[in-house]
Amino acid sequence: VTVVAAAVIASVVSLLLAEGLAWFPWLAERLIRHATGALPAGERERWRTEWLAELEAIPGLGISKLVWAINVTAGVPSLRRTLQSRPATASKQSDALLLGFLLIMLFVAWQSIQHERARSGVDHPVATSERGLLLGPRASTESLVDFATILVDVDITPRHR
Amino acid sequence: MPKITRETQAVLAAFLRDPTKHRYGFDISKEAHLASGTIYPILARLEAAGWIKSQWEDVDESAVGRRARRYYKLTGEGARVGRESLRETEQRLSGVLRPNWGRA
Repeated sequence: VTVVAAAVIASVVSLLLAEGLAWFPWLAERLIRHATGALPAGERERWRTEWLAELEAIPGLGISKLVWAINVTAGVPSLRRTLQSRPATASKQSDALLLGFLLIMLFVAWQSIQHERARSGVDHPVATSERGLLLGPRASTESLVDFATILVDVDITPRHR
Repeated sequence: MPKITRETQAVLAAFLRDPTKHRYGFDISKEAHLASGTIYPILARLEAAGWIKSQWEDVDESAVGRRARRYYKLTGEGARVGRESLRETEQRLSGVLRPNWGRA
């Protein structure tokens, strides 16, 4: 009975081992694909392709590939920190560019207002209020004053009743 | 400028054995005797610093029967900094290994 049990156990173990070895490369590949998901979006494809190519070069049984993949996965947080420090610099550069662009746009807007003033010959062609900004020769504070008066009337009228 | 740790030095030393050679990650890992998880963050740092550069292997994948690899190569700046760093370490170690005992 002991001999038969030992033979059965040995067969099962060898079967499981053979099956496991066949699954290890697949598992390693899945691990790599999953690990690259933790990298910055713009870097994932590069590292996934690179590591999958290297996985093919790992000699030996499937377990070597799995061990290699586990090692790579363990290094992903460190790699992510390294890669994130690069976009941070790029982000600062893009922020500076955006600020520069906004300043240019403000300058252009100011120049347009000055140009409109000069063209219309009106001393105060720009009228502003809480409701907006009016430009050009038709701009006057009268309409805004009227609007304010209406608001005052609306506010006051109910109190007089 | 990346921090030059012992592991970074091992990677630089691996490159300096033949500075003109193109290597991929698994090669570097073997030559530097470092785990794959340690290699790639170092390679990314060195590449960001301009000490190494990388490029995809120019092969027909279907012809060679495998995916194209990404190869790394030391730059001139990387070779200079690497040699300097290794020389400094060597000098420090030689001072430790050969102290001037009895010569005071």
